[in-house]
Amino acid sequence: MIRAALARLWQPLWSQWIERRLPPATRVQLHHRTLFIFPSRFGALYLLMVLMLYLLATNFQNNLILAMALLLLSLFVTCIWHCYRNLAGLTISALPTAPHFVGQSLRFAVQLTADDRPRYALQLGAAAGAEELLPELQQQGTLGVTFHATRRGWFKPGRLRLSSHYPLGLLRCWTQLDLQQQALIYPAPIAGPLPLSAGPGTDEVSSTHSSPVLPHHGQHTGSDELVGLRPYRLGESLSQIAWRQHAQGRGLFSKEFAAEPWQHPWLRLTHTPGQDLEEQLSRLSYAVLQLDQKQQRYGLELGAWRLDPATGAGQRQAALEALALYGHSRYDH
Amino acid sequence: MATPAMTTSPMTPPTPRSTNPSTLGWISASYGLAVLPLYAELSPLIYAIALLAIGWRYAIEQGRSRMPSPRQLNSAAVLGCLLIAVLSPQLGLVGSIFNLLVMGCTLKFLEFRQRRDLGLHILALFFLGGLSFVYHQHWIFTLYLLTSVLLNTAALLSLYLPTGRREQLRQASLLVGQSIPLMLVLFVILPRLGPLWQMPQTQSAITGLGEEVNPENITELTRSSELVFRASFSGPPPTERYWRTLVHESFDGHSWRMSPELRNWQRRHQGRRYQPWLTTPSAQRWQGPSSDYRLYTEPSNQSWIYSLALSSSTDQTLLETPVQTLLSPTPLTQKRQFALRYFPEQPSEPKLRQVRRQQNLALPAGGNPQARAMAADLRRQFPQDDQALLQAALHYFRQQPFFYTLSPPPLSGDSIDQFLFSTRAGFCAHYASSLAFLLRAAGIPARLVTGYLGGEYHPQDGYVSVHQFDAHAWVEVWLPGGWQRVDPTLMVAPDRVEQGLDSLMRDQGFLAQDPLSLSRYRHIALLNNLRLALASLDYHWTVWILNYDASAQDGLLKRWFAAGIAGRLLLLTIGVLLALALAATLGWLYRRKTGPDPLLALYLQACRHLALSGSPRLPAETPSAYRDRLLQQGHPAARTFEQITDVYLHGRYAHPEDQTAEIPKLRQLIQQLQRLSRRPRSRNS
Repeated sequence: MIRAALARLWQPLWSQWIERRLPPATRVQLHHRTLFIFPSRFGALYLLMVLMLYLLATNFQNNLILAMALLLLSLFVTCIWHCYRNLAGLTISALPTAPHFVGQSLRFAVQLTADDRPRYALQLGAAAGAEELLPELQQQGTLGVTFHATRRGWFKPGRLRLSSHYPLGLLRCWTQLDLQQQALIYPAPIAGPLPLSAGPGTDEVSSTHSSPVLPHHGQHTGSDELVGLRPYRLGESLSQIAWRQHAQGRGLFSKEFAAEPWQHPWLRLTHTPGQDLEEQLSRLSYAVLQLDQKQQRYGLELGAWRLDPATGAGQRQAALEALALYGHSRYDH
Repeated sequence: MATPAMTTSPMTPPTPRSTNPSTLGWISASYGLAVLPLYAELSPLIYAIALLAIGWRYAIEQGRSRMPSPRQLNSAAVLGCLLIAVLSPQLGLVGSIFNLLVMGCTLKFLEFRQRRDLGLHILALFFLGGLSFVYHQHWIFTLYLLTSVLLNTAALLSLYLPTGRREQLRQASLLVGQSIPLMLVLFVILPRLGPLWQMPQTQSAITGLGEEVNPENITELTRSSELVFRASFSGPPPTERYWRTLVHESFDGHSWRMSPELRNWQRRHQGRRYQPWLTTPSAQRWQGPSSDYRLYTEPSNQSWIYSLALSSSTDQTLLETPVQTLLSPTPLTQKRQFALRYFPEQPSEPKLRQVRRQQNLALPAGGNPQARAMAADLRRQFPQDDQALLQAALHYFRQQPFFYTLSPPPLSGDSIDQFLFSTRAGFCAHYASSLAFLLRAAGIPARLVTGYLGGEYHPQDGYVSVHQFDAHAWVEVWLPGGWQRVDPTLMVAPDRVEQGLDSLMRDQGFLAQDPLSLSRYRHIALLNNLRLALASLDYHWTVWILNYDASAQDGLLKRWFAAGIAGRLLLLTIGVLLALALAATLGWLYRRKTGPDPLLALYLQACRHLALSGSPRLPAETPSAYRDRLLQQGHPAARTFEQITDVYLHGRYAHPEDQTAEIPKLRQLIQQLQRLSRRPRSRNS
C-alpha cells in the first residue's frame, strides 16, 4: 500500500529527472553522468555480514576479525569501480523493430559496442518486458527486451534498463535509456468472410461518379469501379445492396460494378461487421492478409481516408499501417 | 498513441542462469579451506553430515542419485539444528554458531540451484573465515584465510565472468589486491571501540600452569615448546627473571594448591564481564626504582598473569591479588597485552597477619616423619635465626648427592621423605616442595610459587620469549621484612637457572612431544637462525597487528601525525584517497601487463592506421562492414585490410586455437597496411 503510494509520488518526479539527465537519442555512449550504481539486495546482505563481523571483532577485541571485516568492506568499495567500468564507455544504439500484430511478442533490440575491453553479464530489461542477459560482450553484441503486444498503434517500450551485477553481484550498475524506439502494432487478424464491397462514393448516387469507366490495372481513382445502381433482384448478395439509399427510403438498390461485381476490391470499415471498432479493424486486418496472399487487388476505406486498390507489399504495409493507426492520429476524423 | 502500461506489470526476475561449472569447484575448495582449521571445534555430528552430503553430491555427479527435494533438505537442516541445540551446553555459544554455520554450508552443497543459494553460501563461508580468527591468530593463518577470501571472491566472480578458471582467479586476485591498501588504511586509522556488549567465552582447553602443583604436571609442560608470553623491555631485561604466576599456600601431603581464601577472593573479583572500574586501586605503596615492560600473552584460557616480583599494572586493567600476583578479570582466550611496572625492591607483605601466618605454616597432621624430624633438628640448631636455618636447609641440598632429572623415579606415600632421603632425584617441583615442607615444619612461613624462569632474550627486538618448557617452581619464605624468593633448584643445578632448561636437558626427553619444534635443533646454526627470524616475525605480528588497540593507535597517530578530531578526519580522507589511487594504479599495471586480447590489439592498431589515413571506422560498425565499406570506397589499403580482417575474425571467433600462429602474420600485414595507407598522404603533402 505505502509502497505503491510512494511509487505513485516518486514516479513522475523520477521520469522528469531522468528525461532531463538522459534525453532520448537513438545512440548513447555511457559515462559517469548516465550511469547509476546501487548496492543490490545481495550487496546489502553482504554489508550486513560485514557489520556482524565488525561487531564480533569489537566485542572480542580481535584485530584479525576486524581486518577481515575491513578487507571485505574494501572489496565492496573496489567493486564499485569495477562495476562502473563494466558499463562505462559502452555505446548503445537502437536497432529497428519490425511491425507486429496484437498478441504477438516483439523484441526491441539494441546494439552494444565496446572496443576497448570485454564486458560481462549485461542485462537489458524494461518495466513490462522480459529481460535478456548477455554473458560476455566482445566488441559488439545485441540485447533485446521482449514485450507482448496488447494494443494496436505505436508501441513504445519505454525506457530500457541496461544493468550489470558484474563483478561480484554486490552492486548493480544501471542506466535507463530512451533510444526512441517504437514499433507499429497491427490489429490482430480475426478470421471471417472477406467484407469486400463496391468502391467508396457509391453510397450517394451522384452524377460525378456515375460515368462508367472500364477497369484497368495500375492507378485507380477511387470511384471508377462502380458503374451505378440498379434495382435489387432477388438472390443478389446482401453486401451489394446500397443500404444508405435504402435507409433514405429510396427503395432497394443493388450497386453495379464495372467488372466482377462479386469480387469488389474495396475493404470498407463501414461495410465490415463487428461489435466494435477494434473487431472491425481486426476483420479488415485479416482481409488484407488474405487478399495479399491471393495477390488480389484491394483498396481500403477508413472513414474519410482511402487507399486506392493495388497489390503488393507496399499496399499491404500501407493498409495495415492505416488499420493500426486508425483513430490515433492523422487517420482520425 | 499506444503506450503499454508501464507500472502495472510486476518487475520480471533476472534471467536464471545455469551454474557455472567452475563455481562448484571454487566453493568446494573454499569450503575445505574454511572448515579445515575448525576441526577441533566441530562436533562429530557435523563430520557425519559432511560425509553424507559430500557422498550424496558425488553420487549426483555420477548420475546415481537425484538432488534432494527442498523438503528433505529442510527436514535435515531442522534435525541438525535440534541436535546442535541439544549439544550446545557442551559446545558453548561460539562453538554452536560454528557448528551451525558449517552444517549450513555443508547442506548447501546439495542445493545449488540458483544464484541466490550460491551467494548465501559464499557469504556464510566469508563469515566462517572471519570467525575462525577467534581460535587462530598466527600470521600464517592470516595468509591462509587470505587465500580463502580469494577463493570466495573467485566463486562469486565465476557467477558473472564466463571465462576460464585462470582468468577468474586473476580477476579475483586483482579485486582482492586492490582492496588491500584501503583495508590497511582503515585498519590503521579507523577508531577502535571497546567491547559493546559481553561476548560468550569460547570454551577451550586450559594450557599452562595448573592451580594444583604436583611433580607430574610440571614435567608435562617441559615437554612442550609452546610460546606462553613475550615481554618487551625498554632497556636490557633483568638478569634474574622469575615470572611469578601462581602462589600455592595449601599442602595436603602430595599436591600444593591455591589457598581457599585466595580462591574465594578470585571468585568474588573475577566477574565474567570486563569492568575496568572494578579493578581495585593498588593496595601497595610502590617504592624504589622501577622499570616498565609490556607483556604480550598467548591464549591460555586462564586468568593468571605472569609478572616479575613485584609488578604493578600501569594501565589499570589487572587486579592485584592478596598474594601479590596479578589476575586478569577475563580469561586470556586470545592474544592480549598488558603494560606493567617492575619494582625490584618493593617489600612483599611486610606485616604478616596471624591468619596468613597460620595458613603458611599449615601441614597435614601426619606423614613424612623423617622430614619433620630433620626440621625439628634444624630448629634446635637455630632456635631464633630463621635466616641461618634456611641456609642450613639449602646447604643440605647442595651437600647431599641430589640429581636433577626430568624423569625421576616415581614416588609414593611419604613422597617428601622418599625424595629427601632415598631417591634424591627430581626437578624443580620436588626441590621446592620439599624445602617448603621443611621450612613449614620448622615453623617458618613458606609457600610454593609456580611460574616461568628466564626466557630467551632477543636482543635485536628487545624482548624475552617464554615457552612452556621454561615452567618452574620455587619457594617463597617469609622472613622479617617480607616474603623472599628462595630457589632450591639453584643448589642442585645452577645451569638450569642460568642457561635454561634446554641446554641442560637436551637428551632427557626434553620436548619429547614436539619432534618438529625448531627449538630442538638450536645447535644447528642455520635452523636456529631460521627459528629466530620466524620468532621475530611472529613477535612483530603480535605487537603491531594483534595488539594494535586504541592506545597503540593513539600513540602511532600522535607520533606521526597531528592529533585531534580534525587531524584524524583529514588523515582518514588522505589515507583513503591514497589507497584508492594505489588501487587504481594496481589495476592499471595489471591491465598493462596482461593487455587486451593480442589479436584485438593488433586489429585496433590497423584501424588506427586507417583512421589516420582519413577513413575511420564508424561507431558500431562491425569489422566485416568496415572492410566492405573500404573495398567499396576503393581505399588504397583495402585489399590488405581485407586480409587483416579475415585473419582477425578467424583467430578471434572461428578458431581461437590458431591465435598464436596468426599474430606474426597479422603484424606483417599491419606493416604493409601502414605503408599503403601512408602513401596518399605523402602524395598530398
